[in-house]
Amino acid sequence: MNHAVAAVPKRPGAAARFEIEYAQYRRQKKIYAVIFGAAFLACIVAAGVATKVDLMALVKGLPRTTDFLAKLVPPIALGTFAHDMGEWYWDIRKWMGSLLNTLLMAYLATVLGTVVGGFMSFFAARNLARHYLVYWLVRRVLEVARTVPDIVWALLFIIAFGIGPMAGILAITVHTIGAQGKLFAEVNENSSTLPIDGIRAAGGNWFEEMRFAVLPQVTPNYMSYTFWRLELNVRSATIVGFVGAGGIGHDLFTSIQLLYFADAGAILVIIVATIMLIDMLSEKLRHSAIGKASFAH
Amino acid sequence: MTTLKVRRDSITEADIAAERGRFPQMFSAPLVDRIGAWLAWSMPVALTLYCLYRFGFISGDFLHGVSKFAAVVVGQLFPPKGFEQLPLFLTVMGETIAMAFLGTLLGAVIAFPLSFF
Repeated sequence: MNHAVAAVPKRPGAAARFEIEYAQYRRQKKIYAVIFGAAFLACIVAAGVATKVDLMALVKGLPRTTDFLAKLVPPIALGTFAHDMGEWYWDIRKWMGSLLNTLLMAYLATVLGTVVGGFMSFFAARNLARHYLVYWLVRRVLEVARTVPDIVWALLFIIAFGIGPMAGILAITVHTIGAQGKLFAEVNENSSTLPIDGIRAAGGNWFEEMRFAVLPQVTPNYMSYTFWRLELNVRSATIVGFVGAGGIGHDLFTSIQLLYFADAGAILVIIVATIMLIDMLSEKLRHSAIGKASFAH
Repeated sequence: MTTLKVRRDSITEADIAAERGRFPQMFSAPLVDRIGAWLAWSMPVALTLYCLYRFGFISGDFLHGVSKFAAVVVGQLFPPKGFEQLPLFLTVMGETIAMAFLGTLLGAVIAFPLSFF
């Protein structure tokens, strides 16, 4: 047994060397952590200074938020509950009509935005685009469409198309094109290129490659993103209504401007309930779409 | 685009027709499925067309608005002017980023314990 040990050159103190190196590694990590922590604290302080955070004003103002919340709900007595609710929702026909308008606005914007954004996403995917310049240009256009806020687009479109749902639809559509284009492009980049090679080997052109090789792989993710976008667009349609672009957001804004806070509260409850319903539906639909994909593999 | 010429010495047209007879669903979807797919797709398309009509996209007003957009909005947005106010813009840009940073931080801090429930 001794000669076997002598044949292998033994390096003395291996365990000790490991301990030293590990201690050095830990020390370096601690220094980085301290530096990062200090920088993070500095960012918080800088942000507080930049936004003129005043903790005293926050503490003093906090009770006032309940004032506003109280104004949103009129006095409702349990004895006359049905009557009081009827009074609170006195204009429910108009509001339900506006809600339908809002949902249709969101639907149309999602459809138009997904179609155009989906088409552009094939040029914005690194592995699918044929010229780098096209890829770069489409990516920048999508970014502009996405980062300009919805409200800004809505204001621009109101100048051109007047107050009403059309401006809101166009604003949400432009934003959806940007968002869907980016998300779809990332899905495209994650798709396997093997089927593309197969279609190319069978003699297909670029369009056939996309249609028969890429599209079947990416459709479940597309559907999931589209349902999610529909849900987000309902919220956007509400916000865009604030600047007059139609739907129930316009009713909400008008009632706040006229200081009819009870009306505003009623509309807010409608909006929140709708968003909750759509959220639950959308989650079920999305998971069923993704579920099919994961079983397909 | 060059067409790929495949030498089909071992597979004849008769072979392909025989396979088509044995496994028709490998070559095209059955008619029932295709009709079902058309019906299923026609509903969202019909809803889209109805929305386009309802919100006034199929009218002269829309085209008028497009030309107005090109003239007024695009014409007045470019070339960008007002760069003498750049310091002010940068200050409020910093304020915006600070707002986003603090809002995200506070939101994450409050949401983190909530996420366990």
